[in-house]
Amino acid sequence: MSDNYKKILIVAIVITLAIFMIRATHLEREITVPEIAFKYIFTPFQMAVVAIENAGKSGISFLISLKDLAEENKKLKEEVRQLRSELAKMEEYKIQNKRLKELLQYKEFTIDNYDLISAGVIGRNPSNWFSTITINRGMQDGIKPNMTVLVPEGLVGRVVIVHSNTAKVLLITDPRMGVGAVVQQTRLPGVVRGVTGSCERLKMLHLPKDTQIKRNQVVVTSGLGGVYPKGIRIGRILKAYNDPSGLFQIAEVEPFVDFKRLEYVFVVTEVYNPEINLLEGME
Amino acid sequence: MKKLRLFFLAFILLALILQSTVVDLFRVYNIKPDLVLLVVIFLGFMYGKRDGMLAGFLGGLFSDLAAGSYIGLNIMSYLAAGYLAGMGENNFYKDNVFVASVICVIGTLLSQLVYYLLLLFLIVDVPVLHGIKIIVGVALYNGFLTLILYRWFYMFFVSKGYLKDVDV
Repeated sequence: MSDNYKKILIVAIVITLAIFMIRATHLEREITVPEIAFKYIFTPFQMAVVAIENAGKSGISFLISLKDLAEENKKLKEEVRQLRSELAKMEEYKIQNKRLKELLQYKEFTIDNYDLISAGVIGRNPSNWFSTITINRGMQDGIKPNMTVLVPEGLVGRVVIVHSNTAKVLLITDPRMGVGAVVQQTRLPGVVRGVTGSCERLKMLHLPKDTQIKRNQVVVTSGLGGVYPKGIRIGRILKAYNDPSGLFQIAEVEPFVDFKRLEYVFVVTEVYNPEINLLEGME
Repeated sequence: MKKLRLFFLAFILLALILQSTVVDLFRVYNIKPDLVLLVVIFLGFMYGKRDGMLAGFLGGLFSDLAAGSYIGLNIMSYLAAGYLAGMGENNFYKDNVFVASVICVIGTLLSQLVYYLLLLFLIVDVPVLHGIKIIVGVALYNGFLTLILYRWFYMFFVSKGYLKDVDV
């Protein structure tokens, strides 16, 4: 056998093996020992970088405040400048406090209906093609696969892989994700799917063709399928058009959640009242 | 040589840590660069096909483990890019940032195309236009970053005495 044939054979074998491995390692399966080991080693580094990232964000806003203050304080003495700087710091704390209060209020509001655990986002999917995040809560905190993940603005996704201290969350913007949903005003059912490479758009599929869909109508979870509690806000409709088969309509949906800036999320560990409508509650 | 491979590993892991944390903040039109792929292509271009493929394998494996699904998807796509970049090792001036940028654009196009084709094989629904947007977008973003980062990366290995053929 010539060298060229040998090379082609080796490449063919490698590709075939790789394809088998890729197919066998889909998202919802038992995780293997090497994956657990990698996670153990890799996660502390991710957490460190995220901590620096968050400190950097606070630092930048602090610096911006300082710059504004410097302009105001041209006529003032060093002492006053110091005080102003303290004020800027306080302002930052105030904003942080307000945000945490909102989260707390949300938690209190949902306390009769859900049991929630707050979690910090410590990692994101490295590729442009899929949308997953890693959170700093895992098996030890009672997290299990298929638990719903949300923020006060709306639905984030569901837990797919759980490690001892971390968990992987499949976002609703991932193309592999499907969420049973209804248009809140008209109760039209459909399935919300992620769009590859876009964290700002979703598609609502299988909407009946003979119904009118309007801009700004709100899409919420339907509760069908048993994974997500009913009534969690997903997004608002931007436009609708016929699907290629001509039998249904597809609606373009803008999610309420800003997926680029997710820092904290809630994991629903228990649902007491599956009939709750969070939209009504929040308003 | 062992130390050189350790540098490979260190750069790949550093790129992956940044890629899975802060890089999301630098999305342009929803596209983020691929830093791991960037390192793989740089190493392939500087050290040839074999080392390019080694870097591609390591970068792909760690990226797949970090992503948590479809282990092998990134390995295949990064291997292709590492091999392609390595083909340029003896044919182009390695100290030329613009040549490196073109190699990076072509390598990224190939890598993302392999990724896209494998996704189709896995029956993951990716509309063609979105696929093209990601493939071209990442290639351009990586090409632009090469203009900024390559010189520094290249000089690092020159200063450590690890470049086979120093063209400076």
